[in-house]
Amino acid sequence: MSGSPENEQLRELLALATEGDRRAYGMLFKLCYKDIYDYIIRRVGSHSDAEDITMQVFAQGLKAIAAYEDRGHSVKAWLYRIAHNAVVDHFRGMKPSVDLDGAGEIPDPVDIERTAIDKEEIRGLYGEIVKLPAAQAEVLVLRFVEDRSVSETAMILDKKEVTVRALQFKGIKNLRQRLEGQR
Amino acid sequence: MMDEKKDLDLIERIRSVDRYRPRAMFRVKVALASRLPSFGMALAGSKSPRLGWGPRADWTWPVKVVAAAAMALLVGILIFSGLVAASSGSLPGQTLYGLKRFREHVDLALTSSPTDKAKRYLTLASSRLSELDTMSQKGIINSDSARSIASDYAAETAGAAQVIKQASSPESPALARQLQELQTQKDNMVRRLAAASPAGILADTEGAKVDLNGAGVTGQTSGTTDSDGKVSFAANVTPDGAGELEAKIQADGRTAIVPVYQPASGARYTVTAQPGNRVLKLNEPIMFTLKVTRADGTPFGSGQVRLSDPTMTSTLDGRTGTVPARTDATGSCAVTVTKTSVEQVSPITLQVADPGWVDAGVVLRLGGVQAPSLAPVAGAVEVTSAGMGADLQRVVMDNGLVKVTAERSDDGAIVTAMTRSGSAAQCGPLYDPLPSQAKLIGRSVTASGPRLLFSNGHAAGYEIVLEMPADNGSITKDYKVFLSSGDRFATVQCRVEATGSAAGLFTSTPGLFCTSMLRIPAAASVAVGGHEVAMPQTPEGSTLLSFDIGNPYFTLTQGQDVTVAAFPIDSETYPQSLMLTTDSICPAPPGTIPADGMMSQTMVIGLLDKGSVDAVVSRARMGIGDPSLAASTSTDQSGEGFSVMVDPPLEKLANGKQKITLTVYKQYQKVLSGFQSQ
Repeated sequence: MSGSPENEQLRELLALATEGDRRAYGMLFKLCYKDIYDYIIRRVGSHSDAEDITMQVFAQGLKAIAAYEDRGHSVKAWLYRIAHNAVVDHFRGMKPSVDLDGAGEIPDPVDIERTAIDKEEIRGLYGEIVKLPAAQAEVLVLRFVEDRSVSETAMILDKKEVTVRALQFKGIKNLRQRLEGQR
Repeated sequence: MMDEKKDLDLIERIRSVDRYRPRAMFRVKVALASRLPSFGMALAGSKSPRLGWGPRADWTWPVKVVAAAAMALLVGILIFSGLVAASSGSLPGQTLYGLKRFREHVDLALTSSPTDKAKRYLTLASSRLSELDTMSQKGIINSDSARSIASDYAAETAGAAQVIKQASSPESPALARQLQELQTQKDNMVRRLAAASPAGILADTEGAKVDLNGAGVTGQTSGTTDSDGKVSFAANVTPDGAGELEAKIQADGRTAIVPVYQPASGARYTVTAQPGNRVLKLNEPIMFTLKVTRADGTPFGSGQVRLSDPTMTSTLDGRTGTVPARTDATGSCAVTVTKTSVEQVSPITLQVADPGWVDAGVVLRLGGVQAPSLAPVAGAVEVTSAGMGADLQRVVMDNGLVKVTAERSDDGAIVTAMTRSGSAAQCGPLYDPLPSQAKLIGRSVTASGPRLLFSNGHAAGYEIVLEMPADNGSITKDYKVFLSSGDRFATVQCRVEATGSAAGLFTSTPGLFCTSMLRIPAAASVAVGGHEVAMPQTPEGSTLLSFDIGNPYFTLTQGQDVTVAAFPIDSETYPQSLMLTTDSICPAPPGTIPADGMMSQTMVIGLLDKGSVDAVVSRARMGIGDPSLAASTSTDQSGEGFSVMVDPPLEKLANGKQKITLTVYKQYQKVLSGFQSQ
C-alpha cells in the first residue's frame, strides 16, 4: 500500500511540505481529510467533535512535519496515528464533572451509543461493530473500513502486529457470533 | 472452514460499510484551510469557546449569532477561494487583485514571529515592484494603479523597517540589507520608467474634451475622457490617411493639438530629426536638426533642401511658407520651428534638389499646446541670470530657503555666496584652489561658466569648468552645482580629471588636486562631526582632521547661523580627512591619484539655523541621489501638454469604420512623484 500511486503523490507532497511548502501540505491534507474524518467520527461519534479533531490533526501534522520519518508506512498512516492520539487526548480532556463517580476514568473511546450521532446512522453491521469491545472495534475499523494494513494499524494504535492480528481475529469472531445470534 | 468462509464474507461486508461524509460546511472549511494552512492552524488552535464549526446546542444565543455570522463570512470568502489561488498573478485594476491583496493580508496577520513578519513584508514590497514592472512592460499602467502600488509599497517597506528595528534578531542585519536592496531596486525602476516610458508614469486625464479631426473621418468626432483617461470613437479611418488624424484635447485650461499616428515618411530618402516628433509649446521656438540619407544609405550632403508647413500653423526660421536650407557634408541641416496655432498639427514637409526638386514627404509632425502661464509653485527654484549664451556672467538660484549665487571669476569661485532667507548671514565663497596653485608653478587656468544646465522649477543647476593645460595633457575640474525645491542645501559635484603629464603633478604639487574649499569667516568656530576643533595658529600651517565614522560633516558656526558641509553616502569617492588652514577648510586630496586620473566627489553645502543641522546631516547619511536627474524633464518642451496612446496601433489599423480609443495622459502631472521622493 505504501507504494501505491496515491501514496507516491502524498509522499511527494509531504517532501515539499517538509521543505516548508505550506500549500503542498494543504493539498496533502485535502486529499486525506475525508478518511481521517471518517476514522475520527467513528470514534468520537459527533460531527462537531470530529470536525474539531480533524482540524487539530491538520494543525498537529503541520507542526510535526519536520520530525516526520519515513518508516515504510504510508503517509496516511502517519495522519491516522496523529488522529488516534488526538482522539485519545480528546477523551482524556473531557471534563469529569459530568459524572463525579467516574472522575479520572477515561471513557470508552468507542462507546458510540452514548454519543450524539443519530442512532439511525448506526444500525445494521456497523451498529454491531460498535458494540464490540473497544480494542476489537478499533482494529476492525482501521483494518477494513479505513483499509489500513496490519503493520500500519499496529503503528497507529501503538500495538504489536501480533496483538492487532489477535484483536482482529477476536473481533471478527465476536461480530459473526453477534450477527448469528440475531437470527 | 465454514467459519473461515463466513469470516471472509463478513470482512467484505465491513469493507462496504458506508463512509461518513463530512458536512458541507466542514468541507468548505477544509478547502479554505488547505489553501491557507496557517489559517487552518489558527482555526485548529483556538480552544475558546471550542473548535466546533456549527453553533452548539449549549451555546448562548449571542454566541450562536456570532458563530453564524462568522460562518457566513467564511462561506462568502470561500465562494471565491478557488479564485484566491488564481489571483496570485493578478495586477492592480484586475478583478482578482483584491483577492490577492486579501490573501496577503491574511498571511501577514497570521505571521507572528517578527523575523518572519519582516520577511513577509519584504516579499510583499517586492511583489509590488514586480507588479509595477509587469504593468509598465505591458503598457497597462494608469494613475490609480501606480498610486496604489506606490502607497502599498511605502506601507510595506515601512512595516518591514519597523519590524526589523524591533526584532533585533541575528537575521536583522541581513533583512535590513534586503530592505536597502529593495529600495535601490525601486529607485532604479522608477528612473527606468521615467526614462523609458513617459506615458507609463503620467497621470491620466479625466473629463478632457477630445475632438478627432482628419480627412475622411466621419461619424462621431467628439468625446470626453472617462476616469481612466480613455475616450473611444467610431471613426472611418484608413491606414493611408492615418497620418492626418489628429486630436484636439482640452482640459485643465490647456488646449493641445496632437497627431494620433506617426507613420514613417517616404522611401526614397530617410530623414531623421533631432529632436523627433513632439508637441511644442505655443510661440516657443525649438531648433531641429534634420539628417537626410538617400535610399542607398549615402548622405544627401552639401545639397539644397526646402522645408514648409502647408497648414501655416507654425513658422520655420521665423517665416511662414517655404524655407530653403543647405545640408552639410553629412547631410544635416537645421531649422527652427515655432508653433503658432493649436488648431492643426504642423506637418513639416521636405523637398530635396537631387537634382530636380523631389518630394521627401512629411519629416516631422508637430503638435502644439497652449498652457496657462502657471502660478509659481511654492518652493520652486527661481533662476535669474545675467549675460548671454554659454558664458553667463552670473547665475542666481533661489528656492525661498537658500539662495546660491555664482559669478564669473578667474579665481576659482564655484559658489560666490550662499544666503538664507530671514538672516543676513552669508557663507562662501566655495572655491577651487586650482588658479592660485597654478600661479605658484607658473601656469594659467581657464575658467568657463557659470553655464546654466537646466531650470525646471523643481530644480536648477549650473556648471563651472576649470582647466589647467600641462605640457602634455591637462587638469580639468568640472563643477556642477544644483539646488532643488524644499532643500536647505545645494549639491556640489566635482569631477577631477588629470591626463598626460598633468597626472605627474600630483606628487609634486598635490595642492592642485584640492577641491571644494570653503572660506571660514573670521568669527566662526569650526566643528568636525560635531566636535569643535582648534584653528591652526600660523598662516602657513594646515591641519589634517579625521572624520568619525558615520559623521561625515563639518560646520562653521557664527551665532545662530551654521554653515554645514556634508559628504553624502552616495558620493563616488569619499574624503579620508579634511584639511584646515587659518581661513579655509576642504576635503583633503586623496593619498594617491586614481590610476585613471579621475575622481569624483559630491558635497552638500547649506546655510541653516542650528536646529536644522541634524536634518541635513541625516539626509547626507542616507544619500541624496543624483540631482542632475531632475534635468531630464527640463529638455522636454512638450511637458505642459498631453501624451496620447491610441488603440489600435498603426500596424493593426484596418480600412474603414472602426473603433479608435485614445488614452490621454497629463504630461504636467506625474503620478509616481510620491514614489520617487520617499
